[in-house]
Parts: sequence; C-alpha cells; structure tokens
Amino acid sequence: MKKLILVLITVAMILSGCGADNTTGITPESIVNPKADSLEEAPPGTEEPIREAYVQPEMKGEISISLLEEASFITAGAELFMKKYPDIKININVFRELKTIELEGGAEMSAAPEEGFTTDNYLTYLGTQIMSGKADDIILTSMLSMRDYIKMGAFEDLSYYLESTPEINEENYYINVIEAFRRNGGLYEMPLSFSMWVIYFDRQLVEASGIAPDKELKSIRYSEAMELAKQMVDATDLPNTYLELGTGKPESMLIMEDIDQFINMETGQFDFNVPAFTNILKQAKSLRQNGYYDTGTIDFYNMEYHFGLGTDFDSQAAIFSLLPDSSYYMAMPQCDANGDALFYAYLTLGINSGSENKEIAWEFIKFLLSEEAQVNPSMYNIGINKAALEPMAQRQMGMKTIELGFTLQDCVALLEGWAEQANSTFMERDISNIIYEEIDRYYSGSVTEEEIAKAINNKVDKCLNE
Amino acid sequence: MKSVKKKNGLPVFMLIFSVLGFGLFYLFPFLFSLIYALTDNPLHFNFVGIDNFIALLQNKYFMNGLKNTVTFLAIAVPLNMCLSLMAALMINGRKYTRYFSLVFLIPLVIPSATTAFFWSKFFDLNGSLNKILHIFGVEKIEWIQSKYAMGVMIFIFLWKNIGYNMALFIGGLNNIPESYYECADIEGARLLQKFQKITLVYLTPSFFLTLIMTFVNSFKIFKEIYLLTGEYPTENIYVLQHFMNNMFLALNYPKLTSAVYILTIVVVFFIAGVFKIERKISDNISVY
Repeated sequence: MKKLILVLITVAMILSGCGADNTTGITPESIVNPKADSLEEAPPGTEEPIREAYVQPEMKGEISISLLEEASFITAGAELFMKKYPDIKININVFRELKTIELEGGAEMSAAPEEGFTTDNYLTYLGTQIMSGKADDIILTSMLSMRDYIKMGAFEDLSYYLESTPEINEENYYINVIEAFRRNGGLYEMPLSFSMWVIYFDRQLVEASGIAPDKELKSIRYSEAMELAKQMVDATDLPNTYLELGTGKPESMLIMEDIDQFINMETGQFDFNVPAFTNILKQAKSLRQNGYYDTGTIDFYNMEYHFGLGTDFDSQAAIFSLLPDSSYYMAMPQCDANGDALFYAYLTLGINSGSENKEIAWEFIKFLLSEEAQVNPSMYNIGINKAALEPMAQRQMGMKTIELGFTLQDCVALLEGWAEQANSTFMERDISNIIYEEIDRYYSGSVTEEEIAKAINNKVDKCLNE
Repeated sequence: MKSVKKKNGLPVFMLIFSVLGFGLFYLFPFLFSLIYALTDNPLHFNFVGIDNFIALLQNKYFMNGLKNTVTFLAIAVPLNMCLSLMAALMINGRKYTRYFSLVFLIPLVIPSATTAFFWSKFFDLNGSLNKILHIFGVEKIEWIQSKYAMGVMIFIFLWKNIGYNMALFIGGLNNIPESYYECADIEGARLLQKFQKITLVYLTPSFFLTLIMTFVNSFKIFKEIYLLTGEYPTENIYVLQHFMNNMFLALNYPKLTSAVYILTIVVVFFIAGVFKIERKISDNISVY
C-alpha cells in the first residue's frame, strides 16, 4: 500500500512537471480524417431542433459580455440598451485595460500588454471559462480561431435568430458581410461593423508613366495592382520611386488574396508546396533585390518620393480620393482571386451555447445592429446597418481640417459602392499566423522557398489534423 | 500503544493540510478528467467509452509525440546522470567546491524566457554557433528547424539540469564514510575498483532519487522548447506536451485527457520498474 501511494505521488509530481506556462506574449497533401475531425460535420449539440417561432422574451434579467479590451461601441450600446430596457442589466467583463503611452505632441500609442494579459492569456482564460460552463453570455469572437470552438459546440448557431428577425434584410443591412461569416451552413458570429482595405495609385506616377488601371475596375487584386505599380515605376524618371511604402513584404498580401488556391477551410485540404506558392515568394524576393522597395534611404521631409501603390482604410481612402487634386488615383477595394472584395471585422459577437439568456443576448446583439446603436459616434468603421454609413462618413469628413471640395453624398456613394462588394474575410487567425511566422523566417535567412512551403504544410497539417 | 498514538497525532494533523491540498488540486482533477476522456465533447458529455483512447493510438501526431518524448528521455536522462556524476566526482572534496557548485546551479535559476531568448540567438541561422563553425568551413544550419533539433533540446536540458543533479550526487558522496576509502587504499584497491565497489554501491539511494528527479525535470524542458519553437515545431522535437498543449488550446479536452491517461500509464510502469530495481539492489547491498 505504501509503495502504491509512493508511486502515485511520484507520478503526480512528474505530471505536475509537465505543466508549461503558455505566456509567449506571440505551422504534402493530406485530407482531413473524415471520421471524428471532419470540418464538414455539424458540431455536436447543434443538431437542428424543431423550434417554435421566435418570440421576444420578457426584457428582464442580466447578461454578461466577455471582451479582451474595452470596446467603446459596445459600452455605448449597452448603456443605450439598459436605458431602453431598465429591467435588464448588462455586465461587460473586460480582460485587460487598454494602456497607452503618451508621445510628443500629445499623440498616444498603444502600450504592449503586461505579462499575464496577452491575447494568448485571454484565449486560455476564455477556453477555461467555456469548458467549465462559466463563460459570459456574449463573447467577442474577432480574435478567436472559430473552427475549434464551433467543433466543440461552444457557440450558438445564430441562423434561427437571424431568420426570425425580418428587419435584418438586404435592403437595410450589409447581408453580404453577415453571410461571409457562415460556416458549414451555420452562423456562429455576428459582425457589428467592418473595414475594407483600399488600394490606390500615385496620381503623379500615373501621369508621368502614362500607365493607369482600367477605369471600369471596381476592385483590384493586390497582385494586379503591384504589376501595374511596377510598370509605372519602370516607365518613369521621377526620383525615389518605389512600389509601395515599407521595406517590401508583399508576400502576405499576395498569399492571402489567393489563399483558396492553397487551402480549403471547408474540406481541410491544403497544399502550400506548389509552384504557385513558391513563385510568390520568389517574385517578392526578386522585387526586393531589384530595388523596388526602399531600404530606408528616403528622407520623408526633404525628398521627393513616389510610391506606385498605397493601401488605406476605407473612409480615409474615400475622402482622400475625392479631394480635388488628390494624389490618390482610382482608389478601390482589394479583392481576392475570385473577385470578392476583402474586409475585416474587428467587432464580431457570438452567443455562448451554454448561456441561459440566449434570447436576451440576441436582443442585445440585434440592438447593436439597429440604427439607433450604429449611428453612435463610437462607430469608427462601416456599420452593418446601412443607415450608419452616412453619419460615419460625416464624422470622418468633420475630422479633416482641410477644405474638402466634395459633398457628403459623394463620399457616401463611394463607400456604399465599396461596401456592397465586401464578400470575403481574412483567413483564420491560427492559419494566418503560421503563414506570417514562416514568411518572417524566409526574410531572415537562407531558407529556400520550398523549405518554407514544406514547413507551412507541416504546421497547417498539425493545426488542422492533430 | 496509547502513548504511540498520542505521539503520532500531531504529525498526522500537520499532514492533513498537504494531503487535502494535494487531493483538491491534483488527485481530484486527475480522477475527474476521466469523465472527459470517456466522452466525446466537454460541453455535451456523450459517453463514447474508450473510443478516444483508440483514436489517439491511431493519431500519427500523438504517436510521433510519444516517440519523441521516449527518445528524449532515453537519451537525455542517462546522459544527464552520467555527466552530473562525473562533475560531482571531479569537484567534490576539492578546493572551492561550493563556488563550482554555484556556477553549475546558475542555469537552473535563470528564467525560462531568458534562457529561450539566449539559446534562440545562439542557435539561430545567423547566430553565434554558426559563426564559430563558419571559421572551420562548416555551412550554416538552422539548428532548431533541422534534424539536429533533438540534439539542441537535449543540450539545453543538460545545460540547465546538470547542476541540480550534481548537487544531489555531491550530497550522496559526502554521505559515504571516508573510512571505506581508507580501507580500500590499505587493501591496494585501484581508483576504478573503489569507484565500482564503494562509490557506486553507496550512491545507490542518491542515484535513484536523482533518476526520478531527472525524469521529472525532463518534462519541464517543454517550457524552453515551446518558447523557442511555438505550438508547431518540427517533427523531431514535437513532444507529447505540444500535443497536449494544442489540444487544451483547441478545447479538445477528450483528446487531452486521454493523452494524459496514456502518459500516466507509461510513467506508472516506469516508476514501478525503477522502484523494483531499487529494492533489489538495496537488498543486495544489505546482504553484501
């Protein structure tokens, strides 16, 4: 008996030695196992129950929201909601405070998170909360790799609630953006707003080179824009002309626009060790080696310089491209290989499948999507509600101190045209992190393109099939 | 009998708190996690029996992790024991033993993040090791991403843990009565004979203690490796803890707990074997 206890204690000591602190402050052809880990299988516990028609619940009770950092839009929305329904209390649980560093001139910069409060810490904390049944009713899903959470059935399928809310329709909302979040037929997160990366060209360079994009284009692939910019740079004698601002890391953008060619997130099939991938790396390396990117020689205050193409976020790009004598030529959203304009949603919410207040949680999300909430000044991006676009554009225009020379309607019309095209969101965080890490390794040393491709294959295989 | 019971009362009382803590934070969660291992999903708890264990034994990543873990243990643990014993023998009884011990113990107190940062720079493609080897005409190698990654892992483990084992062995060596060596000298025994017949024999208890501590510490190297290589390292240093860590982050508690139980079974057999051998050797020593 004593020996058994001794053995068990020793074993427990050893296993306690297995624990690792995960604070890190920041992966050939294979087909996912169709049995247990199929991405096509519906998550357990979400089999379609026969549901009665949705009825608005009694607006009384308490719900909680889990956020990594404070989100002013959600805070403002919660205050408005509680004012509207005084018997409902909303608790916003923020994991870490947003700390800033004051710079010279009064500007502020975000400070790095303290130890123990990184995004990885939050994911560990959130996972533990979900698994122990203590997670909040509503969870911010923007930084989550939703694939794993959906597989475990951690989030409620919002399709039922969405179908029961006829006022959320194509006429009043950017349903194209909402539908881009559908996975395996289910909708597990609801975007509240989104932002689009817009590509533009240098007007002076266009005029000097005589090369311009097709005027009929409504969106453009990054690779096409880069090719045009390269032609402009080659065809001009203007001093200090480069492809783009920065030291030249176009690989990420080129890979992401064509990511469907390398990985299918629905079926789990992937292969990065193909000529199309390695050629992207070689092309980007060649551009850097041939001087198409600045190596830190530009004096931005005392030199004339031109960048063939630039990228900016939507509202700013719209304003600058509408200015008379604007240096922005033909600003348009970036699209992927299928022609779907890319967007990123910083605020997406999901409902915890273990919540006892799902209906109230949905009512709050519905409120955050409504015009009343979305016109709030804390909406910085394009709101999902179309009515929010004009107030947002007006606020952005109001922040500019220069004479604009165009109307609010011009700006709204331009942004509307872009927003209607938004159809494709960026790759899941864990997969994109694998790609970015390997590309960083590619920059740093004498690693070949094939080695990088194989390394990505290995890591993605583990990520999807472990 | 009454007085014996009275004498034993206070120690038992003092131990209760430790036992309670051990039970609450280790034993109970360990036993409770069996529920996760026998169900398909930690949120819906559908019983699946031993399906998770079978699936795990067919999982190539789990088996690769298990293989690498066993390989690492089979190489690093004996190597650590030998090197630390050699170091203990070399510095024990010499002048400045304490200072040498201190130097060897320094790696143990350096934080893991600092260690990882230092070694990442040392083994980097443009790091110090490649620069030194370049002098001898050796081409650059990205050590942590190459087939030598296991060697790097073993090296870091040895660097960190030799001092600790050396201290344990020095303690054991100091417990061997000097008179045994004096007798052996009088009898004309050679150095190797004294080492075999006296040192090794009377170091047996320390040896087994050190073996178990080394075994425990070998799992802790995962911290540095994780900081160096992230969640998905190359195939040859992907150990079981990577698998378990990733399963935890993916909320796949059934796979995680199944892996823990399989690892527990392996460890129990190993420890039981060690104790059995230790008892046999101890019996032989007492007869001798």
